[in-house]
Amino acid sequence: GADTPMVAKDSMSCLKGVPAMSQETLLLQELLYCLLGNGGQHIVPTRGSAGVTFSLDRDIDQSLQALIMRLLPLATNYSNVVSWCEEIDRTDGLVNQALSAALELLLHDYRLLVCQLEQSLARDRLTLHQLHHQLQSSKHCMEILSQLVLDIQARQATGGTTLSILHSKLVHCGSDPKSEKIVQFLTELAAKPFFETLSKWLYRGVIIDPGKDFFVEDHEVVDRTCLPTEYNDDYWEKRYCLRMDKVPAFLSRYADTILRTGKYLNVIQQCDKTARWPDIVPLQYLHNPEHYQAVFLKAHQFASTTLLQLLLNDRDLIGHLKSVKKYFLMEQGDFICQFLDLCESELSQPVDCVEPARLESLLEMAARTSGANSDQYKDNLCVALLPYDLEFQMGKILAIDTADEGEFQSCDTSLLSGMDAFAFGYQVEWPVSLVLNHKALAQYQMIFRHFFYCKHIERLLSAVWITNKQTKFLPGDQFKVYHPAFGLRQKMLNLIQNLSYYMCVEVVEPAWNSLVTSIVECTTIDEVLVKHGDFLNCCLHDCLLSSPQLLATVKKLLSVCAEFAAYMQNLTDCAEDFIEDVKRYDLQFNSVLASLLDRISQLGRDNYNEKVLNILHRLDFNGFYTSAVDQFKSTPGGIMGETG
Amino acid sequence: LPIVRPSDPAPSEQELVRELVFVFQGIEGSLITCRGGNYILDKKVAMSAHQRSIVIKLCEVGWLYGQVHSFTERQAGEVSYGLVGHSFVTALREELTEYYRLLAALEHSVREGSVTLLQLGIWTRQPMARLRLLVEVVDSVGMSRGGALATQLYQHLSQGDPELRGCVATLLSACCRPLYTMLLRWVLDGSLEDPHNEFFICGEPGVQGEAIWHHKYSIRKAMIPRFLSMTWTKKILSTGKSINFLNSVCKDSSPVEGRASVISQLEMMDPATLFRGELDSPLLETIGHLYRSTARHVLDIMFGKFQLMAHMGALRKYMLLGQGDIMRYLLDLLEGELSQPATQLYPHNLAGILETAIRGTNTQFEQQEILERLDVRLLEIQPGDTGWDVFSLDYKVIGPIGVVFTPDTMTQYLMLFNTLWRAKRMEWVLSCTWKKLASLHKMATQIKELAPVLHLANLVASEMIHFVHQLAYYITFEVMECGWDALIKQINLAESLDEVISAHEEFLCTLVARALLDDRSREVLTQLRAIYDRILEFQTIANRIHDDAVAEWDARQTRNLLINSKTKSGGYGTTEQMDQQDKDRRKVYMKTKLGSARAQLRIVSQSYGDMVRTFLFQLTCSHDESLQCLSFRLDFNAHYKKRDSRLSKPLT
Repeated sequence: GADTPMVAKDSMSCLKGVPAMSQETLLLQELLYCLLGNGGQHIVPTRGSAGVTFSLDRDIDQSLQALIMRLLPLATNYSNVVSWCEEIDRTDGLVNQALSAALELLLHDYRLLVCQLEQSLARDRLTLHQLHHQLQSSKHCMEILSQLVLDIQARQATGGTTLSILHSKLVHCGSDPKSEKIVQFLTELAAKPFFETLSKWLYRGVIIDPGKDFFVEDHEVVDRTCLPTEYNDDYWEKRYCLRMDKVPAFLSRYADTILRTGKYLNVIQQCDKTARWPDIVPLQYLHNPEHYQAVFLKAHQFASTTLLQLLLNDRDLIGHLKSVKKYFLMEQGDFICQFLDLCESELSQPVDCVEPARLESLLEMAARTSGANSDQYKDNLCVALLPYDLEFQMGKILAIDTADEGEFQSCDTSLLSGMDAFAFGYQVEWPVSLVLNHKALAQYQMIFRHFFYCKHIERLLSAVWITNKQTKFLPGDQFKVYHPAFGLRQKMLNLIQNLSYYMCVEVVEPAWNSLVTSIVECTTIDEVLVKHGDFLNCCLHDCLLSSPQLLATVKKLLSVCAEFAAYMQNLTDCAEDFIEDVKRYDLQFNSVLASLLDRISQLGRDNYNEKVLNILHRLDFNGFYTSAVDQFKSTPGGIMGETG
Repeated sequence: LPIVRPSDPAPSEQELVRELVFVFQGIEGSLITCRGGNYILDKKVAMSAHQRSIVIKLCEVGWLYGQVHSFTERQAGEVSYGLVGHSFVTALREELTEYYRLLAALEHSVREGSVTLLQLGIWTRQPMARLRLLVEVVDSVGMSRGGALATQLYQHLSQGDPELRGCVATLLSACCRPLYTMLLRWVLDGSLEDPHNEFFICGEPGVQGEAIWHHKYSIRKAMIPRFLSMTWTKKILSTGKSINFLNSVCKDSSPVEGRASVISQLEMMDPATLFRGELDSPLLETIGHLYRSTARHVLDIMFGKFQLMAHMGALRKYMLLGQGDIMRYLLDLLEGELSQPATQLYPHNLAGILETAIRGTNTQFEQQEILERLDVRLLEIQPGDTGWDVFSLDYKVIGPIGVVFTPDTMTQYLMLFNTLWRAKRMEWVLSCTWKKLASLHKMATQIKELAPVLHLANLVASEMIHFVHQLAYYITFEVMECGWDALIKQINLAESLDEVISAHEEFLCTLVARALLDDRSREVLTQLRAIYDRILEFQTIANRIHDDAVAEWDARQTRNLLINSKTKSGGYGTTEQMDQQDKDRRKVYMKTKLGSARAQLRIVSQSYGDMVRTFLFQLTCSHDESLQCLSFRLDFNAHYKKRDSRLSKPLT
């Protein structure tokens, strides 16, 4: 250390009785040594908790003592700075090392000054007063440095944190041009290693940070060439993260941009070895943080655009989205029909009896024997059997952070049918999985399950229609018996077809079209992520999935249809209560439908922009249900008694 | 330290300064003495406290110098320290020379008497920082040599202080020079000039021939400098290895494209580029280029001159039974030969049969070179083996293609052939049996008693045929075709021979696993073998039924003919004795022969069913999805599932 505390020897002072003039010459030399961190005989340093303090020989002339006392803080501060500089080692990071090197430069000037003073002393041209005068500016400067160093020490700052401290010092020095200059000098030099790291991250997407100065951390432990398929959005979220305490204050606004820029570059690096990289622009500390903006935005723009181009052109993102739409949003009708033809019997068992391998091979057959065969991504499609049904899934999502959360912990799979549990899965490669991530696929699955169930019900009703054709050849009066049943069937078919039409044509198609056009216009991957999320949310909302009550009502409606279809299919010749049964189904259907329409119109009252209202117009195009509802309301206890 | 009352006259400041200049060079003086490397200021010397303090601080410079100096002297004498080490020592000496130069200048001023202790303090700041760094470096380097030394130095390169960083960079680039030379020699000519084992690639001098690709060169992990990643190290290894391989195994001396420009580029480059990091490094870029072009060249030679793909195709056709007609024909031809005990087989007979098979099938149009390699091989004979157990086709691997088809992989091919051949044989056995059973149908109209037994046999046969066909489907499409397709895709993407080799190994690995030959599926395989045994058993029974029926038929025909001819000649058609004989024979046929056949059929059918169910159960439990698929295929209509409670349990 610079200041080995010297043990004050019991005063065998030789100053006693020496006149002040003679004392001054003797003390001047000792003082000069003392100012450079060497303890003397009459000025004795002691190291305390607040740095080094000095005690003076009691025999020194009182006025001299007072003057010396004024200079001693300089020595204390000097010793603070020097001891900080010397304690810096490799664990403190490059920024602190650079700062210490910069401090050393300033200290050098100070030492030179002291040496010059020593020379004047040798020529007998120095008095204590002169010394006091000459050291004033150094005293001020050293005070700033010492404070800075103590601040850094107290907060155990390294890297970005040190830069934050320097920056705030610089801001506070605004009133004093001289100290501002000093701090600026220090900041610029100290920031150099930091900005080198930063520019490598911004322009190459790598972290080269041996001193742990940087504010982005890499959590990757495995070599990235090993597992390119396992990457998903989790990777995206978790691999790199910000260390907020290390973000320099002047960059805090850009931290997120910087993080994302490097991440994007990283993805590009992994997936496209031929990518052309921008030149590394050397960055440096700028006094005004606003001036960084242009540079950072440009780098971010580049990264984001390049990644988007990579996804769109090289990885055919649109193609994947189209393929997903084909299967999950039921665009490929013949495939779905083929698939249902093959799997319906398998799926109508309880889920525990469904054999995934069988489904898988049937799915493959369906894909290869339908129009889906021409889709190059058809092999990405797979079968997923989820251990919960759609209502439960939606409920669980909506119940997050509410009181009902506990209710939706686990679903009893023993009651689940294959149809309820079934969904498609879609395997995508990194980096397309950035867009088609877990969350997006889960949303697609929800929509799919809803569509799939509707399709299933529609097929059941159609099957009823086919078997009903047998009655065509019955004589007129026997045939009449069936009229109400056929009417009800037709109502149900009408409902289900309109519902499907609404969801496919009025909800999905326009949203999809706008998604495709907007993706083409997007310039960054972030925009695409947002657009895609919007698309899914919009579909979920407009398909009535995001409101639990509406969803429950629709489900109930569909289950009435299913029950009716089952009843009609299992009709024996001598069904005694046929007419009553049909009537009961009719009433049930009407009441549930009425409550659905009621809810929808209520929604419309809150916000008449809702697309949902289209269902109302479509189902009730001729006022049939409105009048029916009115009629029910006018006959007290009619509808309520049935449903209640 | 209690200051002792001065006895000597206090030394002047000039004297102290002069003394210190000597101490800076590690030489003790009259006031400051050196004990065991530490400098001590004699306590008796009278001087003021502040002077004493500064003198003690200045002595540190001397101590630091002494550390560095003794290290250089110690290591310079050791020959085994290696080229890198000696470069390091030389660079350290350069640093010290620079220090001496400063001292000389200082000494000059001291003589003029104008240097005070404080000035000396200022003057020594810079050199002291450098010396401190050097001591730190020297301490951390310790005894490490070669690449490890460079690694140690590289760790000191991350310095915030630009000046110190420059100092380390100088040292490091000196160390990199010999490494760089070795690297160039290696990537350009494939020669290792590394007398002190410092380079990160080492060669086994004894290894010759094709084996050099796999066994001659290896990476010395400890000697990889930290600034080269493993990926690059592997690329560098592969580049030199390829050059050696081309020269000594392929005897190829055709020029690699663009080599001259690469050489000139590399020779122009500064060794310091080695450690400048992997971003935009021109050196690594050039080496990467060299790596790619060399690897491409090796691939071109292998695919072009040595026809790697043709051989791979041939292996697939003959060792993996891809070429159906010759296999079928071979089975036909070999039947008689292979039914004998294995000890009575003669390879030359078999080779003759193979030759006949080749001439008689499409294989005759194959390239001569491939046909020459095709051969017959008898596996190790266990007691009790028949010819079927030990027969195998073989493909002789000679020359550079041995790099891909190593003895290990050839063993895998033999294993695969054995399994596939067995499956093929079952198919063939069943089809022969079916033929025989079909021929019995007509007789069944005459021999009424035969019909139920025949029906039973047909049921068992079709069950077995279904099984064997599904298995064949699984092997052909799910295993062979899928594996081959993936292999071809990977080979087309491959940039280097190593990638081709690993793709091929992966291909074989998948095949072995899916053909149930790996350790995990040993049980399943045993079960499958047992099922095959049942099939053979069935074949024997069916043959006997056939032979008996034919004999019976013949006997009846002869009898009818006899009766007819006798009647024609005007006598009695038959005698009582002959009738009795006929009755007896029929009785024996009905009771003994058909009865036992029926009983045996029942047993075989029963045990076969049990085994298939167990087999299915094992398949459903397996981890491989394609095996689960196979199980679904075999039991498409839940025939076995209904009979076995294990199979109907839910999978989840």
